[in-house]
Amino acid sequence: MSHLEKKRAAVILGGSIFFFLFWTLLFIPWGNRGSEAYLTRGEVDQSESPDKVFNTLLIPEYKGPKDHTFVFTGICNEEIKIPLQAPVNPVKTVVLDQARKSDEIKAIAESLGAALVGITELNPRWKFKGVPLDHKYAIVIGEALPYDFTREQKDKMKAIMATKAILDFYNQGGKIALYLAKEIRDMGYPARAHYESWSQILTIPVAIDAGLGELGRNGMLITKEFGPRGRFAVVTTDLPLKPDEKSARMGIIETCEVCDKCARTCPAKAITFGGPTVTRGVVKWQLDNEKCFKYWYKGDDSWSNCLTCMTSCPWNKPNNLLHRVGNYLATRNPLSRWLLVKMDDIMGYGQEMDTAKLWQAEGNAK
Amino acid sequence: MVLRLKWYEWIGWVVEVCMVALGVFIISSSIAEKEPQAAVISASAFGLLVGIWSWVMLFYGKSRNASGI
Repeated sequence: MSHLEKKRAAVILGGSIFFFLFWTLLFIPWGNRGSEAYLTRGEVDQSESPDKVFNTLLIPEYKGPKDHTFVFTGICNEEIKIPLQAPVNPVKTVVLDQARKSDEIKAIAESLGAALVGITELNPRWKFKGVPLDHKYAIVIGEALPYDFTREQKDKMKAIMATKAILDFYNQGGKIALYLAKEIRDMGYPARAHYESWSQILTIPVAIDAGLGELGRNGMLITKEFGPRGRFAVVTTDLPLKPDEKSARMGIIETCEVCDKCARTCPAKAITFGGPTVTRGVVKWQLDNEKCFKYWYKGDDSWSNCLTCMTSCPWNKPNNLLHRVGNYLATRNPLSRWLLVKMDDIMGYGQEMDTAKLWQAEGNAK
Repeated sequence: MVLRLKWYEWIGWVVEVCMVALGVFIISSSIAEKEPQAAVISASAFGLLVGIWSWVMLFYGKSRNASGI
C-alpha cells in the first residue's frame, strides 16, 4: 500500500468506525435510575382533597352537577344520564379469567374512544385524605390532544381550539370513565369514575403505576405515544382484573434533569429550575399550581389559552415512525437524551404558545 | 462490469448508503409533517455530510491516474 492509500484507508475506516460507534452508543441502554418511574422517599403523605384546591383558586362554580348525575347527548339527541355513583347490580358476573376480563375492559374503553388504557392495583397513598374509597383496581383511560393544536406558536385560533380541546377532553375522558364505571356496575361490581374535580385520587401517579408514562418537570404525565399531550381519567373498581406488567423506564426524570425548556418558557414562572425535590415523600419538581392556574384562568370564563409547558416539551412530537424511533432512542441513555433536547431546539420544535401575549401585542399595535 | 473496490471502500460505501437512506427518511418525514425548519436543517446537514463523505470516497487519496484526471 502506498502512503496515499494508507491515508485514504485510515480516513475511510476512521469515519466508518465513528459512524457505527455513534449509532451503537445511542442504542446502548445505560444511565436510567432504578425501576420505579415514580420515585418515593420514605412515607408518602396523602394529598388534600381537590375541593380545598379549587376553593383556594376561587372557582367554586367548578363543582359539577349538585346530584352528581352527568347528562350527555346521544346520537339521536336523547338525554343520557349517568350518575357518578349508583347501586351495583346484585347479580354478579363470575370472573374465571382475570387476564381475559382485563382485555375485555380495555376493549370496551377503546371502543368508547380511549387512546390509552392501563390497569393497575390502586395504591392507597394516591387517594385524597379522608375519602371513603376502598376499591382494589384502577383502570386508567387516556386521550391525546392532537399534535397539530400544540405546535402553532403564532396562531391564536389554534391556541383557542387547543384549550377548548383540553376542556372538551376532560369531558370526553370523563364520559368514557362514567360509561365504563356503569358497565362494571352492571356486571355486579362496585366502580367509580374519577376525572377533573370529581376525582378522589391523584390521576398521574395512578397512570404511572399503570405503566402509561412517567412524570415530567412540567407536572404532566409524559407518555411514549403522545408526550405530554395526554389527558387522563380513572375508574376504580373491585372487578377482578390482571394489572398490566411494568414497562421499561423511559428516563423522563433523567431527561428533565438536563432540560428546563418548560421552566424557561413558562410565562407564569410556575415551574421550578434545578433538580427534583422530595414533596410529601415523592421525588418530583414541585409546581406553583396557584401561579399557573391564576395565569391560565382569569375568572368570568376568561382563559389565557396557555399551553407553553406542553408545546415546549421535547417529548411533544407527532406520533409517526420518525419520532417514535427518536423517542425510543431518547429512552436509552444520557447521550441520546441530551441529543433529543438539543435537536429539539435546533429543529425548531417546542415553541412557546401563549395567546395572552399575542392579544397584548395586538392591543399595543392598535 | 466488476467493481474493483478495496475492502475498506466497501465499508465506506455502506456508510454512504446508510447516511443517504437516513437523510431521505428524516427529510421526507419532516416534509410530510409540514415542519419546514426541520426539513431545511436536515437537508442542509445531510447534504453537507453526504457531500463530504462522497468526496472522500471518490477523490480523497486517489492518485491522478486512478481518478481519471
